[in-house]
Amino acid sequence: MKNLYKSIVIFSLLVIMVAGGGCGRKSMAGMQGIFTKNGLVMINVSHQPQEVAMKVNGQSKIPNWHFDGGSVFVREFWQPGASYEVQVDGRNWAGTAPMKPTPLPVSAQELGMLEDTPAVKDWSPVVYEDVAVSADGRYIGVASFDHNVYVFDNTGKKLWEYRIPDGVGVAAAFAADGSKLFVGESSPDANIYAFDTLTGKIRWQYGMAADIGRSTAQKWNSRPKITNIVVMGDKVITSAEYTQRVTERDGGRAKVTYVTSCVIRAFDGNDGNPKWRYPETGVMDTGISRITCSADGGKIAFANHSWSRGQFYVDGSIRLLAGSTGKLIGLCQLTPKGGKFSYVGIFDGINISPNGQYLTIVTSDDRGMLFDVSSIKADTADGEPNRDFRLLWLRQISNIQQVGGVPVYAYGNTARTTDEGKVYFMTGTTFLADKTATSGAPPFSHPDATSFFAYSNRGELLWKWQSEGGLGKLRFSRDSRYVVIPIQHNYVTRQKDKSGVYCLDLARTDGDPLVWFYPLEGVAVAAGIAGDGTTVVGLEVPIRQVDDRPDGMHRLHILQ
Amino acid sequence: MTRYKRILLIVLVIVAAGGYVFFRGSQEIAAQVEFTGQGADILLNLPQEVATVTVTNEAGRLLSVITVGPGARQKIPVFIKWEPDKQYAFELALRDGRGVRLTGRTPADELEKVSFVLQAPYGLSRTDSTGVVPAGSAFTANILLTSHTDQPVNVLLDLVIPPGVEVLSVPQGMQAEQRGGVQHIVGRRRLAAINEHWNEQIVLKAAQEGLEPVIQAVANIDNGREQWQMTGHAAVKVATVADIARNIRVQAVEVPVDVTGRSDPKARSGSLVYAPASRLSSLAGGKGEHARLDDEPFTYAGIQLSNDGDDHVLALVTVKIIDPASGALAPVFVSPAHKNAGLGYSYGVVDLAPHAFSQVILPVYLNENSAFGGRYKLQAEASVFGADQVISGADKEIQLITRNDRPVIITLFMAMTALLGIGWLIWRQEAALARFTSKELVIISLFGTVTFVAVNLPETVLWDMARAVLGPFSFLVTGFFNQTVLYALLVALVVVLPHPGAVTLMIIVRFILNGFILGHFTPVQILTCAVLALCLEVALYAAGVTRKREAGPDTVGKVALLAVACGLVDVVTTYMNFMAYMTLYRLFYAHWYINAVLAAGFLYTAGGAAIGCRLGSTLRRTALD
Repeated sequence: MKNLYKSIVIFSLLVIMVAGGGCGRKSMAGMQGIFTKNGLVMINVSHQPQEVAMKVNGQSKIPNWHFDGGSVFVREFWQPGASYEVQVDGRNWAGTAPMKPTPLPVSAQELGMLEDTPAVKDWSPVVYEDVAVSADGRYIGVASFDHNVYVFDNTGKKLWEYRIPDGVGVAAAFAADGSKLFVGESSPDANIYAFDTLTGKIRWQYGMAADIGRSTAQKWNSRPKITNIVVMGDKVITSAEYTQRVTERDGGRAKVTYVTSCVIRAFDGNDGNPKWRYPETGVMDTGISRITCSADGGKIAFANHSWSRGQFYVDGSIRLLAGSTGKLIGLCQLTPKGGKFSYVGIFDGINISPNGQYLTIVTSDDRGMLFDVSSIKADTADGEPNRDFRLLWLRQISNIQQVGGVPVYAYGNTARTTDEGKVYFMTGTTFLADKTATSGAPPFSHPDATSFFAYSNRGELLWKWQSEGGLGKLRFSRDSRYVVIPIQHNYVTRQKDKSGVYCLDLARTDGDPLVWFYPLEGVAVAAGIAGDGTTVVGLEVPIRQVDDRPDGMHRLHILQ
Repeated sequence: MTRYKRILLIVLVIVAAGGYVFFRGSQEIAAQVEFTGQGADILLNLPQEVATVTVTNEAGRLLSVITVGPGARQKIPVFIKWEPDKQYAFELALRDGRGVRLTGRTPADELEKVSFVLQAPYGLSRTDSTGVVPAGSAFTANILLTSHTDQPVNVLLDLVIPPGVEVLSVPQGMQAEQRGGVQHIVGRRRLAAINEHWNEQIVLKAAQEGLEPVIQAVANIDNGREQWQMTGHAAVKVATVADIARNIRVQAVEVPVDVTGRSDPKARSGSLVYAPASRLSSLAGGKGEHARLDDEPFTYAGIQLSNDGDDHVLALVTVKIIDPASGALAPVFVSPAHKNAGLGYSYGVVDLAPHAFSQVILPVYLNENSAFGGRYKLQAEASVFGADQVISGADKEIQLITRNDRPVIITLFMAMTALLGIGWLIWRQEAALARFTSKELVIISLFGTVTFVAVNLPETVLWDMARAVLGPFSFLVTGFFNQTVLYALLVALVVVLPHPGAVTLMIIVRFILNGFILGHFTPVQILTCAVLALCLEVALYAAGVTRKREAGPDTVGKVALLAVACGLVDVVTTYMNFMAYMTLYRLFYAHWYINAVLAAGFLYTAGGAAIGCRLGSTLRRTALD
């Protein structure tokens, strides 16, 4: 009997040992290879290796590699389906390349608490923060709605953070050499800051409220705010906008109007010296779209937009400025489509090609256009602006469905053009009648909602790609090869399964431009990509479900 | 228990506990895969933290490795190109180290090169549903052809319109044809790019109820290598408005509600309060920005609809706020030109499931420049989306209450009058009193005392009884003392002593007595006395009584003039009194009540003034002797 008891005890101890061994279920990860769009990345490499060897389909190949942050990056145009063997200091790895690249998550950094977050049943993302990646992909800057500015390196290490005294971050851009981070805020003063990228020291700042007015309103959208930051060589161009409620006496009665003030300024990026101002005196009485500039900084383009027509700067007017002086050198006036669309509505849908030859526009009512603006020169003498915007083609990129007098459409959001005149457009989510309607979600989606279109320079549709959900701030790589698209929830179906960061390769011609999709727990409100296309980032915010339960967190995702 | 037994027991307990933890931790993860047009969706039975998803095909070839961001999720979309009737394997690596492997076989049929959807009426969420349209109403059919291939395809579309359905509009690029007595709408389109589509809306009309026409469509497709045909159909049920209304009803309208549809239990239903920033607040500390009502809704209206029928109905719901007098959209509630497609009213679309309730929440905008308080009517209407007949509606009375600065301004005026008056009297009291002889001062004091005795004391006694019996209409009783007797004595004094200032001194005497004897020192009484003195002095001077210093009105005309003047003074001072109560005590009165009090006061006062003339004339002969 004693022996029996002994046996049972020993057996039980063995069971415990096995089970206990199994409890440490997280295995010690060995070196792994990830096939990214930038090349092959060997992760879990603890130290700088001495030697890296590679074989492709059994054939030896000398790899071009570098080590950074625990990974070996092999610059390799890997072939889908090919077999790879990599040896790093005697450690071996073998794998087959997939058909498509994989995003390599480098880091997911938690950011601060947000005061308000989007709801799955509403179209608005609520959070309009911004993220920027330096041209070489080494640094990431976040202008956050949690009242902070953050800078991280591409391994996810936070270099510094800065608390905005009384506002939220809404715009961010790095200097061309990455040495400075420019951040714009929505605040009583509408400051633009130039931070030293490494130290966070403020090199200079300027309060745009001096030009457009100051306000202590509670809501960020009711305050003066920076709407654009564009880096042009050693200059930084910024615009600020403020819409205020003005009460005037009209005879015996008080009259309330909403007056918009907007101005563009150029500064020396190093010391903040003002270079020029547009308009030279006074302000524009409408808001403006995204500012776009040619690669040499010679031409700057933007459009005026306003729900009401605007008195002096009419909605739908496209302006070209000389980059060196800020003088108006070109002007073109678009008119509303008519019917239920009483405004043109150009927001992000404007872009000039790097060589300054082409200008593309997409309006809220989905009219996509390509202009040849090569005859408009930056050295135009003062006088009447050149109106020679040669329209090459105009397409209704998405039709507006008229249903019982109610227009159903997917609004035109983004436009991009290349030096060859190839054009890309992207539409947003489904709306009835106009973008700002707050009548709740329609129970159907427009067939062109959240769609990316590629057109030839002759206006022929080359391909179309579609996801679902609302659109955040998307970014192109410098050469327009890649675009990273942050997608939010689908407020029509109240789903967020396809929310996340999408990377498209616009050079693909097989009609399947999707490189990878990185799903997020919350929704993506902004994305960034390094100028060289390496580092990709996405900003996630939590979303409230129908029962008010939040999904996701406020995070910065760094990917390779 | 022996030692071995004890050790055995301990070990068994540990094994049992460890086994529980071990096996509880590895809760069964169930997953399934559904193939879609863009790839596949992996569905988990419970939210899990998935790190990667690896997809391999039947031959073991690695297709894709998807890395997933942190956070638990139940559904993971995977974007891959799959081939029909093939097995694919999905390996999920969870962050806790566990793994799940599942396989799925793709549909036997390959993905359509071209997909074809025909909807009637527009927007029906289920293609197998039958849409309901009102007889005699226009409705919209929606056609959508999408190419899923990068090879160009030519499409010839032939839409067959059944008898009983009329075509109201033909899309540009398509033509209407008659073939064998049947109407067709045909068109051609080339779809050159992948995911390019051809989308048209056709407006139709079904005149006769009871029909169930089926709209059919045939698409002949040619990609240069092969040709094929696709068909679609959409069944429509034509019903009378009454029949549809029997099932689709606007059940209730609630306003104001918040953006989630909840009403404030503290707010009265149908009452909208508009309180813009007052000038005082702008003086106090800069411009405070309030909700910019031009861009943001002022409030929301919640419309509850029910669908008792067996079919899905896509309903268009509109909310219009009209002026009951004119029947037109009330300017104060017309939405801004850049909202609601410039229609001026709000609308929304809702998919009404069969045998279900739905709530639509629509914004209500306010035009601050037309924000006049008053009564309006909110009309909520529902119609089949794409059709132009209203099938159900409900109205709700609403009242817009706006901030009125008038009480504050008037109260400020009264306060300034009182302050200036008291200040002047203190500063120039000797000069003020030196204008009268001692005899005159005695007479004034006597009149003041008599007024106190004849007006204030009875009023004090009667006030509570009158209010208890007549409630707010006690003024009909107390007015006799407050106005008739008071003004009789006031006018009598001014007839005896037609001097400017006499009435003022009398009012002061009465106030002092009222305050010291009855303790009626209230801010409102100070203000009322001040304006009463001012208004009476001005009125009596204007009427010539104290200006000409004559022996009082001796003709019917002069008596009438004086009576009217005093009546108007009472109207003005009583109105100011109301304003002071509104400002200082936050009491609010209905307009009709105020008007009734003023009217009664005028009559009582005028009568008292007339009596006072007679009394004054009689007393004059003896008073000044």
